[in-house]
Amino acid sequence: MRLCGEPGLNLYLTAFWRVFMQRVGKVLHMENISVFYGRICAIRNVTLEAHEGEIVGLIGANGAGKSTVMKAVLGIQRSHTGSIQFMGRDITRMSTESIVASGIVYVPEGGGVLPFMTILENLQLGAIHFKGDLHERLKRVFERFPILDERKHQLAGTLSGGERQMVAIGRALMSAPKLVMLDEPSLGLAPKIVSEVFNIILDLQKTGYTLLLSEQNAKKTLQRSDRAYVFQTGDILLHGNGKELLDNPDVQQAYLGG
Amino acid sequence: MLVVEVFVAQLVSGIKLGSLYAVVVICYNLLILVTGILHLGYASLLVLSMYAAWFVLNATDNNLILGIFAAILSGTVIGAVTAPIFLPFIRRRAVLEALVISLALGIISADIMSHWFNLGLPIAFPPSLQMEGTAIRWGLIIIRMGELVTLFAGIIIVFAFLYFLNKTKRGRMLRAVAQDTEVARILGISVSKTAIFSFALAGLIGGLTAILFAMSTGTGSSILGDSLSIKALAVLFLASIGNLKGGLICAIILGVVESLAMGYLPGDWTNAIAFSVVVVILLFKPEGLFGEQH
Repeated sequence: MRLCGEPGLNLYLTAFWRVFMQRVGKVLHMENISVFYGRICAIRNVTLEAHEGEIVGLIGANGAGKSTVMKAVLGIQRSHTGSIQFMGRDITRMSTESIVASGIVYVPEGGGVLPFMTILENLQLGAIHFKGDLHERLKRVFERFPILDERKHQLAGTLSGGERQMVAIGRALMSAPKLVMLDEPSLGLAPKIVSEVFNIILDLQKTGYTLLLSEQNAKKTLQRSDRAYVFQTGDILLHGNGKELLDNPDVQQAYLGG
Repeated sequence: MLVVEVFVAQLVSGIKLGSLYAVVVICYNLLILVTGILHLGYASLLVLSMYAAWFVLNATDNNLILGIFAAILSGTVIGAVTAPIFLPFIRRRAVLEALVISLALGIISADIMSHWFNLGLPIAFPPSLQMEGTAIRWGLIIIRMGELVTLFAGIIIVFAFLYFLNKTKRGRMLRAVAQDTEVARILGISVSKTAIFSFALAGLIGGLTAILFAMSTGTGSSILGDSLSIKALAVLFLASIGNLKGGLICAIILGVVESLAMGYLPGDWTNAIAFSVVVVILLFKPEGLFGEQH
């Protein structure tokens, strides 16, 4: 990009522009985060980032540290080193309550819906930090998931796995978040429902949400990720564009069955 | 006719007593569900609010509004101030330690009441608080205004609490913590703040109940807390711990049984009857009459 005639100044402005865009476009930046469970290291010096509107895939085997990354972002697990920036703001030492209020939501494995509450109550709980019009928000979630509207007074515990996942994602969207973290959303679901869940994820991206997606289903995740990180026993083994990683022979051998 | 009148009188008095037990039991359940703690000292702290009301009534020449306000305020403050003591145990889920601490708080407050107030003698509330006027008279049955107010106030508190729990944002937050602490945290609910809030709320309701007890019985003493917590325990185990609706039903039943036993049996056999039933229920239906349900 040529901004002005002077070559030295041009170089300087270009660099400034790049840094500026990085700052503006970057939703999440995690640097050198390590989390220990007692003496066991769950993640070691993890550095990752997510830009606006991206799907960032975290893939790896069970126990590789994918969930721990999300819990560290949410402040449920604390790191003694490094820092986590969200929308240019340092959230490393903030309480989970404030982190959620600032616009990060986490959908845990299995959805984490509250079984003894109705679908409506579950959704309302997603908006406890939301300051805007609750009815409008609820309307939007019901437009996205009409089945939840039909059954809103049903107890969430009576739903199937796929429906629970819908409630969980709907609940996460209730607060109009900036970053949605989905932890193994397709785990334990029938193949048809898995495709449905991935369609929902793509749809979320189209609406403008930034997504952090942890999955064991490596192929589906990499196909849809703008950026992806491959985890192995707490370390980031590889990272890059999802489609590039899909072609990587190491990834193919380890996660895609050769 | 006389037999029927006596029976109805005992029944009404039993329902009144039961509605008070129901309010107390609901607070025990609130604390158990949200914080996981069986607060054995809660009833003694409730009686402490009675003493606060009595103290203010004496100091202000029986100003009822100030007296009632003192009970509610002291209940809430005691709840909120004692909550942080429990927080480390709630986090560690150290239920037994928390049980001992709650018992200790009850014992300490009972001792404070018996040493610092009224030379350890039972306290008496002014007749104006008890509303001596007759509300209903039917043959032998005379129901005092105060008793009627107690009955309805007890029922109103229970329904107001259930409305709060089911229909308001704060209530939903309490239920979320009660159902799944981890999920509640993920949703951005502070578990510590919710625990403190539930202690304060239980204290507030306790303060109101203290006034109702004062209205209903006209007296109070430091050992009232012990008998009240024994009754609450019986109801909790009878209904199954943490079951709000079951707790309400069993509280009313206990109140009626107690009242009938007092009317027809020589001596007070209520506790013996109640706990015999508890033992039988625990032996044959360990989850309680109403099973596990939130």
